[in-house]
Amino acid sequence: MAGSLSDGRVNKMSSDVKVTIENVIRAVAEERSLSLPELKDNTEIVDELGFSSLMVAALIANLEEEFGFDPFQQEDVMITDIRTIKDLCNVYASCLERSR
Amino acid sequence: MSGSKEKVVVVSGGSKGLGLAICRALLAEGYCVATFSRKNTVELETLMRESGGKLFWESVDITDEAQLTRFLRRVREKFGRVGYLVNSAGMANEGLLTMMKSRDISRMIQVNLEGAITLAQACIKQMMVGGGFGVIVNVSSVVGVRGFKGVAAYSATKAALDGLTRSLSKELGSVGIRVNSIAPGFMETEMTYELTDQQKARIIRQTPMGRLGTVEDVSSVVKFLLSEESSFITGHTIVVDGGLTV
Repeated sequence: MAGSLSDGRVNKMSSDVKVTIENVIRAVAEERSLSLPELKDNTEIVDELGFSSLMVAALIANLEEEFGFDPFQQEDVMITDIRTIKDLCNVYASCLERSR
Repeated sequence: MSGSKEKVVVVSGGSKGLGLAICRALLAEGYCVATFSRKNTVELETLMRESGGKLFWESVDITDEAQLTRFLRRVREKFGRVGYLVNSAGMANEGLLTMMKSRDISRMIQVNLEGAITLAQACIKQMMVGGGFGVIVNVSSVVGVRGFKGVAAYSATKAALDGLTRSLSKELGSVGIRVNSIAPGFMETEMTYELTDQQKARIIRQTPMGRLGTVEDVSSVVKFLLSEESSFITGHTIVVDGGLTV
């Protein structure tokens, strides 16, 4: 649980997750020749970045490659709840926290 | 291993019959072949010894998702990312539908259909990584294309695989993943051992090519569908039955 980790470790982990997710977003967009605006926490993945449902699927597949798990296979985590980059980061960060 | 240039194929149900023939054909083409079944066979062990480490087998029940996940993780570690999938595992319980036990019907649906879908889902995720590339071949059957007495539930699972093939091809074409199915006719395998000589003779009479199929007749088409030779074919069911259903 997050409470068992120091704030510094939690922040470092969240920061690492964010860097990884942003890199993967850029890679998936580049593979499909999609030019991206500046990535911010509140940037919306579908409406602002222009990701199609298939690109979101590719994003999740690539993130599974990076993190070794797919959080959306769990019953209580829904892809439809994810709108922004921050939402995505929170899902992966909390999964990583739970696994430690 | 993600940078591996090896052609890594997963073949479900590779311990005997058509699955084993597909493993053999793909090894000869240079693929790294990962297969599973519930039990091993002498024939598969022999092929493993001859493969120079390019054939990997584990005991897995295709209806157990956790076992499948662990298997795919080990394939990834051993060979690298999966680029090719042949959904070949299948079972057939024959008999009039009204006389079949519901648990036998359920098991057949779990193995033939749910297993194929689960395995495809897991492999597609690997195929989507890094820009996307992959080829899937689902082993269907002529009984999913035409009606035959005594195989109603089995034919339903096979026709469903053809539906899966068509829809997946539309979902995945734009990410460079092709999906086709192959519908074999009656072959000389364990699955047709229960046919009487009279039944086999009737099938042969109705087959323009005048014989039952062999596993090699089918595995050669699987090989073609996985290859670049078929790079513009997706969403189709290729019937390999000597003309039986024409």
